[in-house]
Amino acid sequence: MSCMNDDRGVSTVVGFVLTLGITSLLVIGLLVGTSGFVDGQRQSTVRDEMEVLGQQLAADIAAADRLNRTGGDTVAIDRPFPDDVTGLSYQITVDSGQPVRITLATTNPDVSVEVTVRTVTDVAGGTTLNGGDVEVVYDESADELVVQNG
Amino acid sequence: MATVRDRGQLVLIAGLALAISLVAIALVLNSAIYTHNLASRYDSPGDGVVRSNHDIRESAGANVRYVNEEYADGGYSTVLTNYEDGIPDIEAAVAEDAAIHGRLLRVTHVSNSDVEGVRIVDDEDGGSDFTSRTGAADWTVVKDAQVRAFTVRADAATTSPFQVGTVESGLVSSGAFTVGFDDDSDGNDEWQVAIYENDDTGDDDISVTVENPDGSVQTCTSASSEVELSLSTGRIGSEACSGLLFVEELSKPYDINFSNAGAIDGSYRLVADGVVGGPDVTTGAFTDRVDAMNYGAHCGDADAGTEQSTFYSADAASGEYPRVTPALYEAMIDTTYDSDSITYEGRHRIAPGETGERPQTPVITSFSVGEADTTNSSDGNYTVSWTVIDPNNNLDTVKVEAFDNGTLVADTTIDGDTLDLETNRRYTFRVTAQDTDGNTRTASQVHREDGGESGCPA
Repeated sequence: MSCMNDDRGVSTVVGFVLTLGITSLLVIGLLVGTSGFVDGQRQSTVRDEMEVLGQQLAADIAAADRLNRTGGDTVAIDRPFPDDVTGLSYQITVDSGQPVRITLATTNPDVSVEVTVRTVTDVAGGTTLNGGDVEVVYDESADELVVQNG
Repeated sequence: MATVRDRGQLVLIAGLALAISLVAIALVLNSAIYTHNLASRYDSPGDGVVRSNHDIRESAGANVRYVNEEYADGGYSTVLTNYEDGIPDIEAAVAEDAAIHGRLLRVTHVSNSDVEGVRIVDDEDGGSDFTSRTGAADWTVVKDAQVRAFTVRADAATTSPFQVGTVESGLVSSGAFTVGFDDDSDGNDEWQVAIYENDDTGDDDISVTVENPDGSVQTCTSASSEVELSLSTGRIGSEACSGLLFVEELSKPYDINFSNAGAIDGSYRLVADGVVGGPDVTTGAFTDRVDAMNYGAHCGDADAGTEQSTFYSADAASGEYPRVTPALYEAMIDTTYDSDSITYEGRHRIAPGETGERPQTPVITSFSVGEADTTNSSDGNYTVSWTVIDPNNNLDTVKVEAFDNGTLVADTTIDGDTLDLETNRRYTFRVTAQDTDGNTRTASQVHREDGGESGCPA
């Protein structure tokens, strides 16, 4: 009778451990999978948004170039850009040369997007801006377009 | 009982973590939607300005054409005043449309930006041939100038018919009306344009044959009985004719000569960068040059009995054509455009129908030679005076030379100077204006003492 008494209640414990173990595995798997998915989607969204912003800035530079070439002495185009993309602050860098290279970048996660545009009027290079309102103006004295925070 | 409170912690933490993940997904999704919203917005910020500028330039160009046509009889000052008066009307029209869209638009005339020109026109009612006022079929229309808005309207029913092959083998020699462009003043037309009724088609069609300096020819035909050709924009009727686009390649200034002018019927008009003396006189450096080309002297050929005549008429009432009248060659306007996102200020040059670069060559606006004293033996003393303007303000020198039968006998660079010359001689006085780029323009007058300033050779 004593041996039979030693086995009593074991299945409950085993069942509990198995339930706990399997549940933990499932939850951990779900969390790992979800966080990876969220991270991937976030990077993709950041890239898309910065690409759109870069293209809008390129459109502004091209428009300012066109207006300058159609007799414009004073040209200024303002655009309200968002302060951040998907909750991340970002920097805009404009490099001179042809084509003009516009780079938008975030850190952590590191995402970088480059957009190019060709202009007839030179564009002042080496400018790094933060997000927010951006303005493209024509500097008559230097005969070049300048991208600056508005 | 203590063990009961500990149960379910794993599920709680897992639920919380999942909830946070879902919120993060929602945020990312929101950003993605915003991105698509941004990407789908209208994204051509300069279009409004470009469109407004285009409308303003077109309207100002039409204003130039209108005042040149309607107010020439009042002289250049009347033409200019009416042009300036028209600018506020243009502003009112475009500013109202801009205001509806929440934009501010201003258009103003730039003071002293106007450049005087001369309009040459032969548009008699019912059309006419293109001969000069004295009936010459081969004559010089423009000498040493640059033209814009050069249009020819030809009526196929009354224009002489020619076969295309005949014209292509020799434009002038075929007998067809030909416009020649001489851009190096060598007396040969480097570019020629024949305009005639096409005898090959059997219908009333107008054809244009262009001969290039290399001798190659190109013919365009318009299937209309009445066709307007634009030698400035390269169009025959509503169709493009690339052969006519050579005007852009001409070195400026150039000469325009008509040949076989009796073989065409219709009208023509053009604006040149020269100056005539006034609304009812045909004197001035521009007509002096043309008359010198046609007669050998600015005031006609004494031997041929055409003294004081000119190849142009200035009298509007006489109904005689071709006419030359003072005209506005070009002017500048300033535009200001303000919207929520764009600030723009620009200056625009208005010279409708101009091809190629703007005029650079100095313009001799007046040139007169008077006898200093005609009451005693000092006859032969001539006072020369002139006014010259330069379109790009880089005038360098103005010189007047007196020639006796081709030999230089005196010269001066002083306005109002007196040249002491022998009596009873026939002199050619030539004024040469040169800018720092080497662009030169000349005007000549022939004089012999006659007691006045008309200066016709006796």
